[in-house]
Amino acid sequence: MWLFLASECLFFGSLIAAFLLYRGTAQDTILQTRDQLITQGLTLEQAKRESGPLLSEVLDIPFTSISAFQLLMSSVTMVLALAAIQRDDRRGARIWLLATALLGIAFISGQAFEFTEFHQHGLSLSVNLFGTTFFVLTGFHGAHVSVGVLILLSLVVMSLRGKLTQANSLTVELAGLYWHFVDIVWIAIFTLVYLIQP
Amino acid sequence: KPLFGYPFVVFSGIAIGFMSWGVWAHHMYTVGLGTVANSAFGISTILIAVPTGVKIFNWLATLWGGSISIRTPLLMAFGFISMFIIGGLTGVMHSMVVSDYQQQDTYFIVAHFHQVLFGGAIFGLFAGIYYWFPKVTGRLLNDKIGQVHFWLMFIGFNVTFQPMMILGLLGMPRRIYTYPEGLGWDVWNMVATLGAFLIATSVLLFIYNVIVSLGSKERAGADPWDGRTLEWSIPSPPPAYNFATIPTVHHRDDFWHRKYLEDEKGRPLPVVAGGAHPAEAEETGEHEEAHGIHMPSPSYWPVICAIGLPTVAFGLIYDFALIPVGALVFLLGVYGWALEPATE
Repeated sequence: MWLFLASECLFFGSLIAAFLLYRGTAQDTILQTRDQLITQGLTLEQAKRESGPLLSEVLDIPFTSISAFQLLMSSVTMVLALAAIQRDDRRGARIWLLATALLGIAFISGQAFEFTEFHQHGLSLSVNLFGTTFFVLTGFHGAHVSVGVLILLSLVVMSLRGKLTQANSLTVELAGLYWHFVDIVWIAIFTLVYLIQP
Repeated sequence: KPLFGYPFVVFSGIAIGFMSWGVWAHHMYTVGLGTVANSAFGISTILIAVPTGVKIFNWLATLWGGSISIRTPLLMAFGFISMFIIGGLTGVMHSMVVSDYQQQDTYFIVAHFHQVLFGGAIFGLFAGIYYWFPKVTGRLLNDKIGQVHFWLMFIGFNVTFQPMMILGLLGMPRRIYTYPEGLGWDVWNMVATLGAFLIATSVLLFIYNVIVSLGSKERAGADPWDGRTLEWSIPSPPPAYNFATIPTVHHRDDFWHRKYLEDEKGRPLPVVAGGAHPAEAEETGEHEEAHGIHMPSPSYWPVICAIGLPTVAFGLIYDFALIPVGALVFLLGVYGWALEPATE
């Protein structure tokens, strides 16, 4: 799992790097495109539609902070789940695993809502470079969280069947590693994309 | 004989790999990068020939003074070394920037890289196939057919690609599908075509050899070549777990030292069937019965996964609706595979 997570670091590292490297240029290009289109005779509204939105026009930090909080709390519940199964508290483990999964689902729902909002404002994968780098990065992260939720729900089902015990608590530990990794990537994304704006 | 100068060969290999990161613009001498860039890449490209030469001399030294039995794997290896040398030397000709100005985008380059790819990769590939076929399948490839295969392929290869050297210097460019008559290229192109058919014949002969040998009743046994390395210490074909116990090695080519002691002059002396180190004799025994090695059970579920993923990829390119379908099939495969009871 550690080796896999190392490769995931490389993966997300390159996506984050791409976003950061293009951040300045992407924003400048949007403004340039709008100016060009206005001189060509379009209205401001039309020019904005054509060029796509700026970072500052779509990002909603308060809302995303709540999503971030949900994901961070899910890491806490994950730790509690692992602690529970390690002391053979099977019911406790099941509850905390379910809680982690539910918080993960809440996070995904928040992301989905956010992204549809952005789409309403005209930000899509192909409208401008900001859209591409943003959606590829956060999209892949969301996909990773979804897979994590699937893993957690599978563990809950395993636990309901009595297959999760202290003896195979390693299973929960590995799932925990993956989940914490996904959370750490989110911390990186949230900080670099949302909080630190040039 | 063991590989001559083992550390040198290994370090040369590493050096080649590392230096090869710094030569790419030797494909671009003629685009107008300027003299500084061209010279820099010319130098780095020429320098790669040095470790390559080291390796070649070490291979030749490995052969020198050894007792050689000319069988197909060795013939293929000879083909490899000789053709690779020619290809490499023409490569050095290309690395000279001014010389490359004439050769770039001509058939001379085509001849060069086919020399290295065919001479290097393909002869090496066939050498490996003829050498390890008995280990993989438990049957030797017919050596007489193999030798005919080699000679047909070797002659065919040279008849195909040496004329391209001439054609290149006569000015025939790359990447054309036709050319006018009377440029002096007609004869050599025809010769090259004939050579290509020779190569095709030789490969058909090889395929025939594979089919005939697979049906042969004669078993190859664990060590048909009196090999030096550990793969020949296990049965042919090997069991799924390969080695029942991880072997303890005392030499670089440990298997050889289990079979042979050396006399005062370093010549091999066969050892009584207990092994050179009596303690190891137990290790190489047949441990098929109670090995306690867990192998994963066979399963059809991976095929389901393999159907799901390309559907996702296809969907990403052509129709987004396919993505959830493919993802679902993939997930089905994953869960089916994970929950399948073990059969062994």
